[in-house]
Amino acid sequence: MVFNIVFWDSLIVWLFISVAEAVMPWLTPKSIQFGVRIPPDKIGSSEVLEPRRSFVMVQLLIAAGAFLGLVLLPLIEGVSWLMTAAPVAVLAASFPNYLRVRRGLIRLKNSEGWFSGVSQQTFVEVQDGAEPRVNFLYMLPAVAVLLLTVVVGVDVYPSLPSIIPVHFTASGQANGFASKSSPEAFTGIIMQAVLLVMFTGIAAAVVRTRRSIESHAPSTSLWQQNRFKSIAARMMLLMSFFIGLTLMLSQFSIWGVIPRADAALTVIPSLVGVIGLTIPMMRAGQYGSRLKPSANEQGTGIANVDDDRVWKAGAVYFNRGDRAILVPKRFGVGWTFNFANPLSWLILAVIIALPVVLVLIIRFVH
Amino acid sequence: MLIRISESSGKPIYQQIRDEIVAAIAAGRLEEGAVLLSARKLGKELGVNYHTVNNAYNLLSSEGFVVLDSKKRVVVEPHELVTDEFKQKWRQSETMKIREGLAHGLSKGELKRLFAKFLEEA
Repeated sequence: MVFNIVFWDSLIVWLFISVAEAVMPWLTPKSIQFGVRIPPDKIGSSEVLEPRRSFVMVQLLIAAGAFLGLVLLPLIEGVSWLMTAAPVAVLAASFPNYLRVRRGLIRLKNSEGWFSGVSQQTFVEVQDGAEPRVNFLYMLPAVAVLLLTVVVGVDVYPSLPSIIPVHFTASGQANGFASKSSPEAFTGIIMQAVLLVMFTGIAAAVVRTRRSIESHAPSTSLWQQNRFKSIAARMMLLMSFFIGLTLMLSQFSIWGVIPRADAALTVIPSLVGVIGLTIPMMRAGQYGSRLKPSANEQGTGIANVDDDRVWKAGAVYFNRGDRAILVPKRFGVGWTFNFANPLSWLILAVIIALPVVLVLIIRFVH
Repeated sequence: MLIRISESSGKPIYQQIRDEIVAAIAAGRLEEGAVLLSARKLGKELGVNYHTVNNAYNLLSSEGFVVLDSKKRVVVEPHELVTDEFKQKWRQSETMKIREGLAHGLSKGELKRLFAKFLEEA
């Protein structure tokens, strides 16, 4: 079969990334467009909004090009695996398009001196205990999946042969075997536990991230970001459930509880989870910028400090004077690191290395 | 409770923090018993050194607007402020301000009007 499950996985990811990239200018706060800080009197003006259209047009072309590759490549023998690169291609081509539109905006901003004479102030919350709380009940689904995996394991374990397959080729042929008592035979359970701890940590961290208050509408933006942080924390906790499902399925197929399933099939719960859980965050907009407060706030006319300088290409935050580790993205939904803070690099390294190290330990410990 | 800080105003940041918190207490936006962020945390939120915030908190505490509780938290506690000593100091500084105004040629009638307006705005 040419259009196999890998094709459908790639198609879903392609669709999601294409849509997410194309609508991104609508998801960021109106005071930040294409990573450029906009003063209050220019917010919503045609010169700021117009470039979005040109961005979307090119995004559609990029998406269409990647789609062509996605459907044509499977027909060509030998290179069909390249179709999985279609979503990555969309991402890679989006960045130059973003930079193109951004350059135009910066040129306009500089030539017209948008920030000259504009009052720039920083608003800050001084009262303690105003952070949103994480509702840890959202961990329960992931805990349930972990428990289910363990309970089924206890049930089938005695009847397992002493040597079981633990690794499979893409086509589902077993090509790695281990003793059923080796840690390798429990990878799915160990990973679930580690991910649960990791996502809980991330959820607890994001609600504590620094507030980033829009000076032109401070109360509204504070309310919006608190809502956004709560939503994000919930989604992180639920994410460990969906990824847990994938790990449970792979653990079950190692134990032979379910027929050996294709890796591209077991990954579907994770795929559904990542996409499904990102959608509520996108609907809320970056830092809740699309959420409508019950009361309309009178604009203050005050701008945030023009901080374009500490955002390389409007996307990479590098600020030595800032102790913060996680800061809200400028062109995207969620957080990014302050790369001037060595702790950011350390955390990033741990997040990337953790699964790899874990797999290596599990594989070599016996 | 939001306060605002301007880097270009020329006023030192610690003074701005102090003034904003006093203004918030005066307007009833910060009530007695409200716990303020730790100096470290507020410094991080504002993107300034925590010593700057500490200076503001020390000032507020020496002026009797806040106290450090047993858990080292900064708590709004403005009531111990109304002592005879405070009234004495306050009268001296305000009397001097009035004299400055009169010396610059403001009439007593104008001063009354201005004070009524300031009282309204506070």
